[in-house]
Amino acid sequence: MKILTKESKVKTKGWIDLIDLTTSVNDIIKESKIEDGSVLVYSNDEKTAIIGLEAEKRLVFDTADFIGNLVSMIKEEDRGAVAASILGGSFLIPVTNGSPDLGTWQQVFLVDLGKSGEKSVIFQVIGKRREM
Amino acid sequence: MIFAKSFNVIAFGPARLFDLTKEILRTVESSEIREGQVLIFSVGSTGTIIKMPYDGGVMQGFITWVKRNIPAKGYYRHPGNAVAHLRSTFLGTSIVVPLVNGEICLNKNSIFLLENTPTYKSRPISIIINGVE
Repeated sequence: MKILTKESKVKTKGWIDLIDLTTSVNDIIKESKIEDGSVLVYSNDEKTAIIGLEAEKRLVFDTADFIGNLVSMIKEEDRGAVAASILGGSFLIPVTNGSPDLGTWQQVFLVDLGKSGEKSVIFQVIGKRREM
Repeated sequence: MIFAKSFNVIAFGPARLFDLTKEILRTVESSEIREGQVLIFSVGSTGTIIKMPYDGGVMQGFITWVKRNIPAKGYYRHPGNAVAHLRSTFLGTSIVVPLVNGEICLNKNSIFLLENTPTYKSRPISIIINGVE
């Protein structure tokens, strides 16, 4: 069993900025040389979340609107952390044959619900390498 | 050790539940892993995986909640199936269940696929079991 963990700093524009992390997910799986297992994507900030979503521009806008509406009744200073709690801070993806099982359309996104800046994301791949 | 398996479910929606529990139990048994974690993942961006009791009232209540809170009618920019994507994103495409003494800890729950798309499809379900014999 092998494990590879990496932290990334992701630059965001702040409130409901959605950033596609799928390339980073693919890169860490490749670097780990793990064929079968899982990859955990974890948002290491109080006001960020991780979601699965198709990276279609209009759908990304729809999702951002939906998140905004979901917490519109919460007072402004608490809104980000509440939205982050509702959306969830982790996403665990199966890895088979050295690739994430996301299908054709699903991508992995960081959702920033705080102020602009650098946000911490942890990637952890666990699994087995191909037997030689 | 790691055990990976996938299977397909013929499913159609929108907002219909398909019980995956038997297939998951069969997969766990064939893995020969007795302690660890079972990841159940709906491949794609329009499915949802959830656990709940196999109970008509609960299942209907859940569907009613989903339809009311992530409504099919609304202003969406994405053409066609925005609501299927939103239900999938907000309800989640996976669950991780502990495996203890060879038994998956479901208690009185079943594991369901909530199919959010309105057409028949062969939905892939990917299972990864991580643990020891």
